[in-house]
Amino acid sequence: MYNELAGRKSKFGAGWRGAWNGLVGGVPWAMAGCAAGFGGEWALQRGLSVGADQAVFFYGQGASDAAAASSGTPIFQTPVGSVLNALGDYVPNSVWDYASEVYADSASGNVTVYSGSYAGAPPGVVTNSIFWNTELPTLMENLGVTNISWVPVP
Amino acid sequence: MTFRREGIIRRTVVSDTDGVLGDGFAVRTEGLFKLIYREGDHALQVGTEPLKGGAGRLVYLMGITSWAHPHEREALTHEQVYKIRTNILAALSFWRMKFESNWLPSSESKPIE
Repeated sequence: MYNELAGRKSKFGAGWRGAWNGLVGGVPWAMAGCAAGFGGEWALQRGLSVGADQAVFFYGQGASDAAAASSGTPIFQTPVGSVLNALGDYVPNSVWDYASEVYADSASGNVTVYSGSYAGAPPGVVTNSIFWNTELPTLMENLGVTNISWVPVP
Repeated sequence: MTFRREGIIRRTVVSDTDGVLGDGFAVRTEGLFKLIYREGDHALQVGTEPLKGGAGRLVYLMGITSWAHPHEREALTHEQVYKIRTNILAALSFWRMKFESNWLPSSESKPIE
């Protein structure tokens, strides 16, 4: 009984030592991972940023075309946004949602919103809208945004 | 309605949901915000947008009003619009794409052909 408990204790201790050694040994790798993570985040933010007064948002019918034809740069024309858009359905909506938040957070100055109709859309669509639930709340908290211009799309 | 994939080359393009050919038409997605419908040399695009929370897109079938350039002056009849909408819905079902649409066949009676 004693031996058995001792054995367990020994194993437990070995486990902690192994974990500690692994942790210590993994520090360089962890640092490298963090650097890559920060680098990736930085690249993501850079790739989704546009200049002052250039951010363009859209929702509803026909609004993406209006945004594309505008003088600004909608998210799908940014370097990262264009890649995500090109990947289409291979990109989970959650990734697009996050990219939209980053894009809205990087906006500054006057931003333009092209508002199309949700006419005939099933109930709950506005609840599921990335613009209303992610982009607009982020814009409202973004102190760099000085004005939001709403442009109705016929 | 029967479908077949639109060519092996299209299948290698990761940017699009594989195009599908139906009976006399073809449908493919172009990015997250467009869906292209073709009948012969006529084409039109339908707006879509990804929905927050899970998978799926909102497809603006109500937005179909005319052919794209250079046929934009050719009027689409009510019957044609109905057929195009139902063809696109069939393609979406073929893809097993989760979608919500602002038009469904049940929302209007089928036109007499």
